[in-house]
Amino acid sequence: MSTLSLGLFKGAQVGAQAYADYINSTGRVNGRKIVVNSADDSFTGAGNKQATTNALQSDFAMVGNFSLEDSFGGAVLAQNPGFADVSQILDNATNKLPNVYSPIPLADGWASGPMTYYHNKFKADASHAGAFLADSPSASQTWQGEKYVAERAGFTFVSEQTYATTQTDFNQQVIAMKNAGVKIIFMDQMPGNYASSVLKALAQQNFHPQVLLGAATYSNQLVSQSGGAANVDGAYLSQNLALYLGTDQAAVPAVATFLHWVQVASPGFNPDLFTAYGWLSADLFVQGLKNAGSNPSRGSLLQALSKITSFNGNGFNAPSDPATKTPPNCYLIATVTNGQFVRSPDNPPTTGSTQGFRCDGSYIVKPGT
Amino acid sequence: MPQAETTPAPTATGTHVLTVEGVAVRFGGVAALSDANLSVEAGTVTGLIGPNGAGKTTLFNVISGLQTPDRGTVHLHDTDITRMKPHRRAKLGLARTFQRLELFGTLSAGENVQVGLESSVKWWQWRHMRRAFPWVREGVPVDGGVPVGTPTGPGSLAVVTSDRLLDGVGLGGLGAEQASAMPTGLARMVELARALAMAPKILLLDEPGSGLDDAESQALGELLTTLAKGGMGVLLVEHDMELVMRICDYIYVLDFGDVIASGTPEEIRRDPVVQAAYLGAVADPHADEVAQGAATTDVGAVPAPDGQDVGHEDGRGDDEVTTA
Amino acid sequence: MSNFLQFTVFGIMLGAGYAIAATGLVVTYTTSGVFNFAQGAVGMIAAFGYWELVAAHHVPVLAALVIVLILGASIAGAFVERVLMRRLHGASAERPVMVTLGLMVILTGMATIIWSPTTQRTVEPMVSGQFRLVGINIQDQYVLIIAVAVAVAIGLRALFYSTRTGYALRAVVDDPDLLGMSGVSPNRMSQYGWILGFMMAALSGVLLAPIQTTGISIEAMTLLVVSGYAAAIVGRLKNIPLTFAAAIAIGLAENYILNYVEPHLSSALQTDVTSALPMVFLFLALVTLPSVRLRAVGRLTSMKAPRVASGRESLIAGGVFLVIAVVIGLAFANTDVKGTTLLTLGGMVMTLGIVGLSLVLLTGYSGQVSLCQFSFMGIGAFVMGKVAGGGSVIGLVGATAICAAVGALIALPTIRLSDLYLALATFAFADAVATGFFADGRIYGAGGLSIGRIVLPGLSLGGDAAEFIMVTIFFVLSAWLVLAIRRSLFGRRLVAVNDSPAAYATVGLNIGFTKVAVFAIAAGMAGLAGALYGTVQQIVGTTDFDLFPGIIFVLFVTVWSIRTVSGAFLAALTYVALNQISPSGIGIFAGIGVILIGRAANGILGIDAIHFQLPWVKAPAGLPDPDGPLTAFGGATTGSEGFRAAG
Repeated sequence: MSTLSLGLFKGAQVGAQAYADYINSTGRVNGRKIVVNSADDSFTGAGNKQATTNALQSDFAMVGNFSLEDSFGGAVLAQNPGFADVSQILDNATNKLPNVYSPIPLADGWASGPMTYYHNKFKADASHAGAFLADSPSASQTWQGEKYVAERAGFTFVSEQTYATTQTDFNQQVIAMKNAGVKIIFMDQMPGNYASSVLKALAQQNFHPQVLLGAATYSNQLVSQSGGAANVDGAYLSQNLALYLGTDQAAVPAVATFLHWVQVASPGFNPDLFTAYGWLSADLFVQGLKNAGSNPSRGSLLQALSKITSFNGNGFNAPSDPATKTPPNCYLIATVTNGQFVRSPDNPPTTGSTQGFRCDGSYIVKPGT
Repeated sequence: MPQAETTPAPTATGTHVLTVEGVAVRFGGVAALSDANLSVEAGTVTGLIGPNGAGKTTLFNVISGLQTPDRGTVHLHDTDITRMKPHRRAKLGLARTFQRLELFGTLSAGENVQVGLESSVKWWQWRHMRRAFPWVREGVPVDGGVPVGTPTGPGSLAVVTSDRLLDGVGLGGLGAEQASAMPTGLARMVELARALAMAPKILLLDEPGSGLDDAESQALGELLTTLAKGGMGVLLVEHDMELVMRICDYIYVLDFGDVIASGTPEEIRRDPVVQAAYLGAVADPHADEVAQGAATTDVGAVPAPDGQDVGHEDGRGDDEVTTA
Repeated sequence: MSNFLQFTVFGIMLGAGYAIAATGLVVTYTTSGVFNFAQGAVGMIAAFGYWELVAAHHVPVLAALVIVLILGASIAGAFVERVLMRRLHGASAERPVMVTLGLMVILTGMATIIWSPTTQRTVEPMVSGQFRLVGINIQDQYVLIIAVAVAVAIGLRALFYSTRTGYALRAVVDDPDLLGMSGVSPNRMSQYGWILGFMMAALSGVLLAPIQTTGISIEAMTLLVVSGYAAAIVGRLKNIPLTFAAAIAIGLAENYILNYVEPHLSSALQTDVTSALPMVFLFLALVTLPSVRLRAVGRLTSMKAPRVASGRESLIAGGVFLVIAVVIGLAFANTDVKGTTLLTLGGMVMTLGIVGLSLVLLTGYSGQVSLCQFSFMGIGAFVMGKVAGGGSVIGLVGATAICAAVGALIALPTIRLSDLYLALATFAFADAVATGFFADGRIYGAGGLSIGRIVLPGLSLGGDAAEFIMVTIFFVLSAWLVLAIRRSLFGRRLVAVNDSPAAYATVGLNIGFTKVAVFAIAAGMAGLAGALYGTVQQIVGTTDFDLFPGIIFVLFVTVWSIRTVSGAFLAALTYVALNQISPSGIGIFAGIGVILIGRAANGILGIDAIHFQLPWVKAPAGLPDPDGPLTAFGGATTGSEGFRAAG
């Protein structure tokens, strides 16, 4: 198999490699060793297309692929329906291809569970909500989906600040939110470095609304880059992955495995969201491979993948349905306490049937999307 | 050097081709020209002499449009060209050469002249000429002693004409030489040929004789005299006194930005003011060239001691002291 | 009202950052006559170096500052002057531009290798704490920035106008020989000048690093300086207090626009506007400049010009080339090269070759530097993809025409100014187009823009082989065209206007008209190349026509020979090849190449092997007369040639 990652998304490659190393060490897949090739599309569409074509010719399948330029490779994948790509795909069109499988399928909606939870928890603040969104069309589209579900749960947004990827300072926007009377900020789609910048600005302007984080923000560096625990404590996090950076390693064995093998694959590497996606993609791929029998071909792999309707990475992620590409609606809640991400007691126990995830609500898509 | 072919153009005697009145130029704290007045008649060779730093090249720059005067006017015949851009003045019939060669180094000598030729013909005339190419070659129209050129290409009218021009200045057969590879003396002649290709009414020459030996200087003198006879006005800056005295019909003497004397060569030779300022010191015409070599620059900005920003244009030399 | 005050305060802080960057530019220009395009990159290296020392190796702040700002900057500045810049004395005006661009891509390339972009690196402020003003809390670091910017402005003004060293520093630009005669070593003054410039750049980088709260970024810090360009221009590249004031004004204007205008725009448009602002301000600043006065410089271009092929020769050569290329292409049609076919790569070579030819015309013949040819490619590809659904000949025509028109618009504000400003304008334009136009999701879309292959009645050009043949034919036609232009009246004028603008004007020709015309033609060619490139790849995306690759390509052409058709082709060939091998190292290759070439106007193809000299070796004695035809490196640097600063 092969992976395709940008320098920025190196984690995906490491994650996939880590899983491969793990599987190879536990007896391989039906006796076969998994080898990972990786390529870098250097941010260009042509590069992505080239690398995908390359993978097509030399590898069995593509796994753990993470790129901004998906649709370029997507064209190749569309033309070669017998070649499987098991990766966390960002591009909707590519996602819909029959030979593409994501461990955690994305769609244009949002899970209603977290919104209801937050609304119940922060009723007084719900009428003055704020949000940060990136200036890309895809972020805008995702936000429309999230906003719809949030408003449905009872939130009213008084300030939505768009930020540019080249932005380096958030003070003005934080002040604008402060002036608008924002009491609770949705930052769940902001990557870690932007989130930490916002948190620094919030601290600097002595403005302390309730902060809501998400999977993109969950990072080992968040607290240190935000200027210390004091600036982050009290923030809430909701995501459909376990707390894989360490908090859950005792409660969820899959997380411990993940952390151990990431260090084997790349000693000293700091795992991030992309690493988790790479790991999970490899996990899904291997499941498909196992189900395809003792002599898997590209075709039988695809067949097997099409039958996996429940995938949860052994507790790593909330149960999803890769076969029908249905996004999960389960989630967990965590808080930042004393600079650490801590599982909220509002989650069911990890030993339970939902493996620690709350499964209330459903995945809602805004009508007309 | 073969005679340039000329046909005398009709001009009235006493017609001023060029008139400069009250021109003043200051560079920072220094007055390069304070009140320059001169005029050049058609059909004459007028000399402009003076010590280094007198302002001669600055005056040339004012006349040709590379320098805007603070005061004063410049007229080409009756047209006020004081504020006109250089290329428009050229189109009206003003051509010049430069003290330090301004050749198109990458081009050949012939191509340099061609550019001059081609600048004076409009597009539609060209196409007409090209279509009429075969018989036009025969009767080449001439204006002011210089053939008017047109289409391009080897063997074309323009090439033939530029060859003839080069011939006329003594560079016959050297048309294919790359201009920047030519020794200074020959290069000056290329510049002259290029200027002539514009069929100018007034020709400004900035030290054309520098670097020429006696025989070449003699030939240059004859060429200029012939051009003047054909109706052209020639204004000549020179340090070679022998040449100046020989061919000039009228001489202006410039010192410290002012015209300190003007008259016929004989009058100038006898003028005590001129002798004191200039001629007396120039017993040896070649001593001046040594002095010339030492004074470097067209480009220097001397920092003014009063801390004023002497200035840089895009970083360098807005207000420069030009030594001539 | 309090909003306005808050926006004002932030605007001033933004402007102070620009002021430091812009002042550094002015210092370098004033003391070296060179506009240092690598200024931002130097600042970036200083910032990253500082981070490395303080955050990774726990060096005390003061020690780190001394190491970076004083030791590092001095050594680097002296090195650059001695090894890179001194050899350029007497070279044509675009050489220093190329060399500083080369330095910029080397520095960014090295930085990307040393400091991988995956880690977030934040720099702690040099002064901690904050204070309160008009209802907002401001980091003390900003005060430090403003204080330093002001102190530097005052200090440098005093240095340059009240001290002998300051005079000498300025004089060395105008006339090193004259300076030398007054007892001051011009070489030493040049060194000091570059060291000072580098120190300013480092200071700028280190001071601004802490306010990049999302983490210092290689590209962002390198291009931070673009916003300073406009301020430096308003200051006419010599007046530091005016530059400072302009920078503050620009910061204020940008911030007011950000907060008053942009909220009313859609989020996509907001980014477009933000990205375009530095360019807009730069163009506005250009309008404020006085027209450059034509000066007779008497430059000795003792450089042998490349021979121009005759009509017959170029026809034959082109025909042979076409046949050979097609044969090779078809023979190895299905050879896989790292995931793509040889035919596709070949198609890229041919289309980039056309871009190279546009550079030969524009930069090689008429000496004007354009750093935005790739941007025209992108616009051409966009037009091709949108017109008639892609795949139409009208698209090709449209791409060429629209790009030519845009080119004319870009060039117009700069024609009355020296060619440096065209380079700046194209740099800013390329940056703005890449971040504000191509990156806009509506232009290329999240998935890129599909461009269909050309459909002609009765002719199938869908296959890779037919496509390759078609683009090769276009390349050959373009090469013929460029050579034909060179042999024509227009070609002579292009060369002439570069050799001597003063003579050009006094011969009766309009400099501005010629320059705009050639720029438009070159832009049109690049647009056509982009449209064809699109048909080769069949899909183009947001990052295919970025600023840095465009600059790197210009350097490649310069290295081979920007004055010949072969140079353009070889540049395209090696660029595509090296890009396959090492996409991240390609900048370093380009930069080193251009530095080694030095003053050789004819690039590698013009080198006389016997006279090749290494950067630190003086010209050997016994070389031919400086007035005679010289080979590229053989120039004796005698005093009389001197250093003619570009007008």
